[in-house]
Amino acid sequence: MRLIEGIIRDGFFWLRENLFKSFFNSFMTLLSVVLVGYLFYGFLGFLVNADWTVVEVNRRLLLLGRLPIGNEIRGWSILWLSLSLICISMGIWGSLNVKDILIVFVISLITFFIFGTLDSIYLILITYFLAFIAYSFSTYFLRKKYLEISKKFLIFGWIFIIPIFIFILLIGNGPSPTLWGGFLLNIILASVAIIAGFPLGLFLGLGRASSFPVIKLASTLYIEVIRGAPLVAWLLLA
Amino acid sequence: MFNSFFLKNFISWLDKSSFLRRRKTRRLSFQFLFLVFIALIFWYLVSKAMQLDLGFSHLNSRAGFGLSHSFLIDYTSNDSRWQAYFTGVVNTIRICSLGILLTTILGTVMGVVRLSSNFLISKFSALYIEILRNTPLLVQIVFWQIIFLKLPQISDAIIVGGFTAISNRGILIPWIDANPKSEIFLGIVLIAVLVSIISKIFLNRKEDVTGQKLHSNSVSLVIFFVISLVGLLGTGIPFNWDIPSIYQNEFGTYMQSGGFELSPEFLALLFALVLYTGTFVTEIVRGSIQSLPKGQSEAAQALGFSSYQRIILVILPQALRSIIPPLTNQYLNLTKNSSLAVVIAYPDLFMVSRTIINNSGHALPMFFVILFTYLTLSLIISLIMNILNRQVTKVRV
Repeated sequence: MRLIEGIIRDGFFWLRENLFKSFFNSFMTLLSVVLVGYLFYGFLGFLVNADWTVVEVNRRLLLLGRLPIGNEIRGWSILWLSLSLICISMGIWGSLNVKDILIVFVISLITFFIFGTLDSIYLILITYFLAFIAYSFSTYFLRKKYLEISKKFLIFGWIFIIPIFIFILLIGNGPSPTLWGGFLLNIILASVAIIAGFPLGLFLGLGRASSFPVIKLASTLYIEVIRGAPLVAWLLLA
Repeated sequence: MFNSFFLKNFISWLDKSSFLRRRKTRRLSFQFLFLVFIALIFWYLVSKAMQLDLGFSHLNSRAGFGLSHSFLIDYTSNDSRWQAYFTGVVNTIRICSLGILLTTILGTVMGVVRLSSNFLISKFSALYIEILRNTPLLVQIVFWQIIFLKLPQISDAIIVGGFTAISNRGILIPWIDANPKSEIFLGIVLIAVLVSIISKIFLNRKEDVTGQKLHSNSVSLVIFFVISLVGLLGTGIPFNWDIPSIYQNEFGTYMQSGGFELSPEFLALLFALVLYTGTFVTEIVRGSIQSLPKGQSEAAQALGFSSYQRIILVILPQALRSIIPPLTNQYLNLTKNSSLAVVIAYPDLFMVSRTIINNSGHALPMFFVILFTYLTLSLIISLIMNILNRQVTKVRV
């Protein structure tokens, strides 16, 4: 009984401290309750009433683009490979708590609920199993015993991941690059841009700070011109 | 005989040497090699480009396409391509200036709200940042375009208070129309501004000399308003209200006229740009406020400032020093991102030049024009912000 009273008293204290500290504060609270409630209600209504068949029918197109049928396993293996790399990296460098893992789990579950089909249920289970194994293996084994060497291997793994992706997509009579598409292409392009962009940026940055006037001028010119025009303009020129 | 002697000598000279081992020589030769490399690439590109037509003369010919938005410039499809291009530039400047203004207001308010002690509105701001910052701008622009096209048709447009019409053709807001008296009135307003500035300078000087408090800000404001009011009453009513109306013509088609039209494309682009860039400005404002020593805020509290005074008089002026440099970057980003207007067919400078490229087939010269225009816009923004920055950092803390 006393415990409940304490909880209620603490709750009221928290409410007064955080929501109703002054008249203006209370007014803002009520205003934002109305606003958030309205937005949330509208969003919920949209979620329930919208016609989701367009997503359901086009699942494959969204994820893989025009990748020919029979090549799905290439996409899955890319997912598994990058997932294990991510999980091992998290185990080695990261410090996740249960809450973070739970959030990732729920989000991925929702993603699979939207994009998964009955045929792919085994593949989804394999994905979770792989992630679990990779994370626990790196946390409880690699991190304890082989920390330094596995760090080196991981860095190499991240550097070589793009050639491996492309290798997986092309090996054994694979589809031509014009047929790659959807979310798969997003991942490939993003990782290429991130991994290739970093050394380029490093060289340009060093060049800009260089004591060689020619190199300094060239990198400054490159940086300012490329940064000056919007990305779409460069896409147009290419 | 002679040969081997010469070679021997040469090698020994190289060996000792002063010349090839000298730091300066190595630096120079390395740079020379790099220059040759760059020159080769450049020469290759130029030789490729020379095969194309590089002239700008095609821009003088008739454009032959219409533009849905033209502001200040009266553009028809019979005008030259230059004219079309300048219409696009004006459209870009219009969206960017309005966008920068609204982004600044939104970002500042949200940044202050993010640090509020009120749990709910602080979390609301956090939600806004996390959702809009992590979705692509392109998707947001298309989203807002869909929203504005989902508004009711013009036959059952929403009329707010009898003077604003909202339909899927855009939002019509009342505007002012000049009449002959308005020039006189504008002249009077200009005089009022001058007089109030002069009086402010005068009062400030006097305050510096005598040490008396003369309230130069409020006095000059009062002077401005009094003179403008006299002008307003003296000229009668210098402006006519241009109130939008929706009517049916003789064929029964609904028409809209009057007012200032904010088209769905314009609004969609404005909303997306402002909300997207606003998240970054919010984070900049929050970071700058948090980087201030906590003592500043506590001292203001201890001196009995209200929370409004604390933010306006103590926190923001100091935070402004670290806000402005990253804010300039965000303004430049907004300007460049406005070229995404091409996906919803708002005729900004990029879309117009793309149309010109498609019509004429001369891509390269037009591309240089685009580059030059964006560079100019960026430099103007940088210049203004640098001047502002100098003003703010003049006083050392």
